[in-house]
Amino acid sequence: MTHLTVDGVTKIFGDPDKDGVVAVDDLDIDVEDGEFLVLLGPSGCGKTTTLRMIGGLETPTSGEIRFDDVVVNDIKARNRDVAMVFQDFALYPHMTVRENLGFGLKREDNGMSTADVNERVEEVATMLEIEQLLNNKPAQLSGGQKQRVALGRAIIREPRLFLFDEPLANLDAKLRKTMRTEIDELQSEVGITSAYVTHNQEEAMTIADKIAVLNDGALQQLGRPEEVFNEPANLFVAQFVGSPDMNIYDGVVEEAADGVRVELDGVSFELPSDALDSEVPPGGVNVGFRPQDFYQTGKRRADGLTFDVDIRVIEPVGTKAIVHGDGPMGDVTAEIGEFHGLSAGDTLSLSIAPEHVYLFDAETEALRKGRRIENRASVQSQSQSSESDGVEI
Amino acid sequence: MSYSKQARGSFESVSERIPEGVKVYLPILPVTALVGLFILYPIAQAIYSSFFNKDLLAPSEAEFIGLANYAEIWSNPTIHQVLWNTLIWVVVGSSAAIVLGFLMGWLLHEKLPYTSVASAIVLIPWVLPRVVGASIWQFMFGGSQGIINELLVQLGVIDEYIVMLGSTELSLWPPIIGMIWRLAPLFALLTLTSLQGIDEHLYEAARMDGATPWEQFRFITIPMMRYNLAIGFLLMLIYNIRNFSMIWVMTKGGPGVSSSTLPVMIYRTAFVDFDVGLASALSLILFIVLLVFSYYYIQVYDQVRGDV
Repeated sequence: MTHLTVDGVTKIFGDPDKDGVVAVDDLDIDVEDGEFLVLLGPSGCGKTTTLRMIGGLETPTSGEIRFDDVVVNDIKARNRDVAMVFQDFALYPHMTVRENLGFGLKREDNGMSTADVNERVEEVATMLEIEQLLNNKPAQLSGGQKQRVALGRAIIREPRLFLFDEPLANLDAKLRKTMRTEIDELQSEVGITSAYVTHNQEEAMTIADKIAVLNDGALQQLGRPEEVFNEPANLFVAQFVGSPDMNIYDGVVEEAADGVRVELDGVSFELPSDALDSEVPPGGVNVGFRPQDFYQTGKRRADGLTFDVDIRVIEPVGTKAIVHGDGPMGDVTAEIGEFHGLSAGDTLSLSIAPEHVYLFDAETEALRKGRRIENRASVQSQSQSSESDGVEI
Repeated sequence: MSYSKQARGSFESVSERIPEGVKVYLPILPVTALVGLFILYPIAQAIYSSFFNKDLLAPSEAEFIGLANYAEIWSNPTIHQVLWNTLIWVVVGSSAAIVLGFLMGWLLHEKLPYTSVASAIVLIPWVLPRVVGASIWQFMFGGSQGIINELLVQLGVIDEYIVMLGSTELSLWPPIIGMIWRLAPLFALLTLTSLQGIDEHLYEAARMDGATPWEQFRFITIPMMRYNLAIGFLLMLIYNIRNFSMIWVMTKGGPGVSSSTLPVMIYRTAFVDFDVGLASALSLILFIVLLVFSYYYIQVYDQVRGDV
């Protein structure tokens, strides 16, 4: 049970005075006892370096890492009582599953006899349903089984912290989802504070209590998954989180009678003041629409935006489809539910509610207006009613 | 079409006339013939010769003497001295080359920059022509001008130059040192490559599991290298036991047989004393020892391939 604090941590590889590379830049993260933190970001953003510093495999250049307010910077990895699951599992190839699981327990000064260790190994193996593999070597295991052994090796010691370094990246898509759920369940079951590195935003959204989005070594946002999705701190976070990518257009905000008017290339729409959390000053903005927030309509509304899209490509994904097309303001990607009868070349009329529009400052790329969820129910009923109006698409 | 059918027909008729049991051996016939001619026949010839009193200059006057050559080996103190020398040579030479080689390989991996350049330099003793290397050592160990004598005097180990290569007490050791110098780099390279083959994540996993540096070495490094080390160990034994050039160039096995090992003794018996029978019997002993080592070498090698 550990409260993890990363306080102003910077990591520079190489000589800081000369051509050192800043991997992590003045990072502040706070993880409550039992919380599941996900470090999310593109390759080279510093997320793995951060995880390795927490584990003690790297030393911070400056700043402090604390476990329950005790600075651990100078405590060696082997004395931190932290367990780590590696991307390539890093199972000891010359040891059986039993020896792999028991290795950490035997290194501890815990007064456990060989029989105690064996008992604990079998307990964990049963929990992970790998008890019949105990005498196998890692080379004889499938990817999923290796993953379970790696997890077992981490949980067997009941460490203060779990660290996961892209643990699912080497598994196939189906297994990845199963294991994701299992890791999530396992963590809530044992209640151990965890930090998890991934570049997969979907994985992050489903598994995290808290997401830290990193880019170029700097923290972009720290928040709950829905905060990161609905209120991305800046354009980078907005584009990184969510799939398909958010549609982004250059626009200009002007004052209107009630709220503001947003001018895009070829179209414009109004955002009434009750759709805005705070005042949006006039000037250049980046306007963002999530593909999921579009709904189909034939009818223009007074607020929000309705526009026609010439469909270029339709990618059906089961019960929904991703549509790529040309709108008046540029390329549009939308996720729609009703796609039967549509084909490339057709024109589709799409709307988006004012609550769902994102605005970012054109200069600083900071969020000016996020996605409001409290109005979601009414928006959905609106969209349903507009569809039930019998509008032909 | 009819032609090819005909051709196939005639081939089939020839092929049908050869019995099935013989046919399967036809494809390996050329290789078998070569192996038989260049490997099996000489072995058989050596075994056969070992039962004769045979002079190299008058092979036709060979006289069958049964196991007399082996009895000679059993009772001759000079030969015992040579077998003893061989044992010392193999045990001391191999273990020193292994320890030194391992340290060199480990240093190359852990501590030294420019690993590829450094390992190329380290390999020089191994790639140098054997006679050249041996001549350099002979020169350095020389009694009147050798740098080793000078060095020992400077260090205060000895008071004045001593005869090393010509001394019955000391002459075994300079060639052993030369051989360690030649073999250690090979073991170093083997150590280096197997250290490089160990996934860095295993050490990180072990560190997270609470392993001390010693435990990492004991439970990760050594087990991960065990096959390579076993192969290296057997290679050192084999190279040492069949070495000839280092001794021959430096001391010719003398004075007396004080620096002779089995291969030198065999050479002297066959081509200086012209006693082919005894030389063949000695060869057979060497052959059996090498056979045992090679058997284990292949066993380990197969195990490595099976494990990967």
